Amino acid sequence: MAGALGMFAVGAGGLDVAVAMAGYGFSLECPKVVGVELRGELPGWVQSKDVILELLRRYGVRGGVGRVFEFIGAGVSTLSVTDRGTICNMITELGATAAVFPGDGRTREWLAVQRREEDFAPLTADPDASYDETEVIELRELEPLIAKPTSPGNVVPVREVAGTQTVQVCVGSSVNSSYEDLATAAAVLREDIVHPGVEMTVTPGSRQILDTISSSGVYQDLVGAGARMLEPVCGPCIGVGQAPSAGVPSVRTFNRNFPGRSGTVGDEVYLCSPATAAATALRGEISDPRELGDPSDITPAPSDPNVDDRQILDPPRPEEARNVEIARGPNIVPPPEGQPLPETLEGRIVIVVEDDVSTGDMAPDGALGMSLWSNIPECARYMFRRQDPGFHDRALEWGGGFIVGGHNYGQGSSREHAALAPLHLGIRAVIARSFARIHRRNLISQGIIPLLFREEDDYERVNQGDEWSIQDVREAVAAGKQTLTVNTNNGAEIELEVKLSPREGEVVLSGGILKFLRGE
Amino acid sequence: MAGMNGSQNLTYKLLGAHLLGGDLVPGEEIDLAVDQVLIEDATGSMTALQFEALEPDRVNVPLAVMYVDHNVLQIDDKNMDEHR
Repeated sequence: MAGALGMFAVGAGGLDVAVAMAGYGFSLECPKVVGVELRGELPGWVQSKDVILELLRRYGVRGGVGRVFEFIGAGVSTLSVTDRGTICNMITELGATAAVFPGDGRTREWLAVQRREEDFAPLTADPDASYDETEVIELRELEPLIAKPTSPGNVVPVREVAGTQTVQVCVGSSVNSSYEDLATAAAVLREDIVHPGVEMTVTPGSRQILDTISSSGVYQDLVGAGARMLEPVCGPCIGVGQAPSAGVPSVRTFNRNFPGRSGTVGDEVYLCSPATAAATALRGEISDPRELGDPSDITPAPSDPNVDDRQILDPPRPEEARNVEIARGPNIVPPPEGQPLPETLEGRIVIVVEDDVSTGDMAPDGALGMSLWSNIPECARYMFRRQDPGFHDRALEWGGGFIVGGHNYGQGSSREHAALAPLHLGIRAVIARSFARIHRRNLISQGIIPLLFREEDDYERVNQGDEWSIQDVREAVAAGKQTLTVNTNNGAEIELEVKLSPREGEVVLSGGILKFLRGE
Repeated sequence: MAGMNGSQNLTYKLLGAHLLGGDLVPGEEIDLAVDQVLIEDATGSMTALQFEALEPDRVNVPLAVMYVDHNVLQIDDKNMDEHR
């Protein structure tokens, strides 16, 4: 999201973040850069959410892997910093590394309102800079878009699904929770009420936004229309409250609609802009906001957003820090640690999962799921529960083994619990058709080796319960060898590809980054 | 990537200004200096445990901020225990 302020901001797993925070820096695969030229200006009722949905429509949830999307062109200055934040927030849904906007007049404007103008520095590409790939978006040609269940990449024009009845509309959370987003919803609902058949919730993005909508009257407009105002947290986006009915459309301005993420098995979550969400809340069915006529003016934001950092606490001084006692409840359990890579990897295929499995399938969120995130043995009980409730017990019974996945294995959230849970269960290698960036790195950091099928179709030849033996793995990784051969109990030979940077190879050999950094 | 005349896109300017190791060539591993770290509470408690396991004396980046906005619904005592 910070890419909206000209930063290179990248999501990472907890251990990689801990390593960076300890001063070791952060390593990643140098990305390609896609220059996205924005031309013109968005038409009425079309919002920056529709820009990122357009990119998801073009690229899907895998097309952005290994890429940074850098926004350029005359259309950039038509987007506010919070508009840009919407795009940067969701760029990860393309599998991309990051999104970057320039630091320009709009950035300076935003920083000035936040009383931080002195932090501004102009940041732009050189006029004739080159890009590895280019993309053009004519903003004035965009229309309201919506991602259908159950993938952010499942994007169609709103008009194609207009008329679909809904019982729930949720606005806000980490994306589309800015003042303008909430004021847009309020403007649509100001003279009316939320459709009686719909539950509507609104989640402001921060304490500051809650404050500004309260003082401008947007809060009262929303309450008056019948919206339920939630506190400024993630809330329903990660399944903490508002779990919808199964098989009934819930329309949300959030960033992810992976199966079950809302807390309901068989959920049907749609992702769209605040304008589309508000029109839908008004009518009780998915609605193209352009049918509402000309957009009415939003209530202006107060000139002073009441900047107040008193609740950001400074760290204690070093001499005080030494005496801090950390309270640990019984649910805080030290995480498992990886082991050095052995010469031979042997075991059974504990599960074969489909394409685009998310980290939410490995370490579920929701109030129950997240309450177990400091307790990996308990958390691991829920791994792949949606795919196969028997996975956990089978993995323990078989003494670990291998996981086999399809494309884009481990997409979504950066949660490293998705790597710690299999580590706890004795999984030493994950073999997939392709991996999502952050999860792949989390596996390596925990000492689990990610391997690829040399022939993608070999995925079809693998069955749960197969016994695999991979010889001379350690030697191969140490030598930078790229091919491994699997001997299977049914006589088939399968070739695997090892694709690790030299440093990643060393981390895997050591048994994870903790052992690597300690020089073990 | 640099153009023939050395002109750069913004991404590579930002990466170049923070490069600790490696070359700015797509697909190659690079090491970056980190200005800021942001940690939320749901993945953050495990991050803190891992940070502890590294045994550093202090946080060693210019700015690190940890905030609570994920794990905020207390359905039993586990959550409150974690946030003490």
